[in-house]
Amino acid sequence: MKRGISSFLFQALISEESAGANGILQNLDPRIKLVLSLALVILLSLVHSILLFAGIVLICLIFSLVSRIRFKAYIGRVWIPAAIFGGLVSLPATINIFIPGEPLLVLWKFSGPVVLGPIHIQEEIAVTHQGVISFLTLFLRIAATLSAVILVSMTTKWQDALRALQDMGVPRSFILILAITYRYIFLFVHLLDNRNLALRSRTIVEHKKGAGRATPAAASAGALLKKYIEKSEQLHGAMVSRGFHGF
Amino acid sequence: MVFELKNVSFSYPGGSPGLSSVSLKVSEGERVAILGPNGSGKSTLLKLMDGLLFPESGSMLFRGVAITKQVFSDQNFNRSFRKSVGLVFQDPEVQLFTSSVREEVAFGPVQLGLTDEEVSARINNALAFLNIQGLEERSPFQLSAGEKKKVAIASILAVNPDVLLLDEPTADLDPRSVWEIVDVFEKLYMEKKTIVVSTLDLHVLPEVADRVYVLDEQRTIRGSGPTKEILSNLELLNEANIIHIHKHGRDRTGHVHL
Repeated sequence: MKRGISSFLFQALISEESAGANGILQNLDPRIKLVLSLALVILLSLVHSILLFAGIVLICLIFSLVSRIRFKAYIGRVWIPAAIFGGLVSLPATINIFIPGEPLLVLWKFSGPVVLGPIHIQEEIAVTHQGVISFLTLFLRIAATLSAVILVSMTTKWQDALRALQDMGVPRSFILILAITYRYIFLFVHLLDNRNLALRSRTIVEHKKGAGRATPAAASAGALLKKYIEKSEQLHGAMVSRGFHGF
Repeated sequence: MVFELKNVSFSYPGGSPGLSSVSLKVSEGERVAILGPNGSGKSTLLKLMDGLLFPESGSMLFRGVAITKQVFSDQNFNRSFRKSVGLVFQDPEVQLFTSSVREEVAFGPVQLGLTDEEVSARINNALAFLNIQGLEERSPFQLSAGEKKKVAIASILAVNPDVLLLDEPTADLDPRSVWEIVDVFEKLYMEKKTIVVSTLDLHVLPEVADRVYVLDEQRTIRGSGPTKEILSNLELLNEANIIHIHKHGRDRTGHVHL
């Protein structure tokens, strides 16, 4: 597995490869997939049913298997952000310090009520029924949303998705901006990757800070910004040359 | 006369020099090369001729009309100029900005306001001209350097300009791709297009141009003439830093590095 900047390109290549596989979702019209995923995201933000969230996660898992996408990559993309943004953030809500409720599991028992300034802690610290419900609602909502969106992105080629957006009436100028953004993110990540490799190939000893010299990373970032400005000017020239005169 | 430049000078913001007192003429249907070493202002000259940059001093006429910033604010002139003149950039990455080859080639015709059927016909014709049918659905990431260059040319041909400005079209290509691009020049010549090509590739020069302007490192025209004449003028090419003449070995025999 590649690390760092290369990992970004590698992950994107996995997506394109998965989207090109001969699976059930890959063969579905991209317009249907986009509409369904959008509807699902709206639905998931409106309802509060843990069972529904879990059901969607399960269905997405089954579709990921039958669609022949890289299962490990799919799981990583769904569950790592879900665990960080849904799990870790909402985990404290399970204990009665934050959400009072009916204790399910006692974690600690004090001899009496504890008062820390304005904070009044109950005699026991426990995982509560209400806290677990809140935790599961948030965590599974995020997991279900990510499951659906990542599944669509891994089974739809980028250009098919753009064409689907165009067919659905999204303005051409908006699609062009999306396409250019995506294309140039790749171009500059690739450039940054090569710069990084060139830097590593010439690094004999680790650079020491101080002595009034810019670090290689800072110098590289500056050079990249300059390159970015130069390329964007040329890109604009290439568009104007073909008759472009603004959106 | 398609282009007539008289004492054109240009500097980039910050003062770095771009061109110094350049004069040249390009007639209808002519094939002209701008030959010069790296940094001699070839790309700058083509951008000026494409109305993307404007001279600081001197005059520049396109079919008798002075090319100035003001004249491009007239939408009718802008549209007619963009329809007539196409520039293929040296770096195809700046020209291939959409997500697929089809979208890329369609960009120019769409800007011209053509109907979907006309756009489709333009795409098919341009791809057929470059012999790259089958790349339509490919993303620019999935193209080789030679394919990128051909797609960049196709994206300009789809506009159907009668004047083509090509900035080092054979740079960074493998020998096979170089000669495939040269074949494209031959086809463009048969279609009576006016071609201005910048290059530092002396091997392809006789195939792509009948007349040559030589730029030197002072970013000015050092000489001009028919291609054969220029290629045999080693003194001029050496002065312009395009070739390298040196002596080595015991007998100190001189030879030319082209």
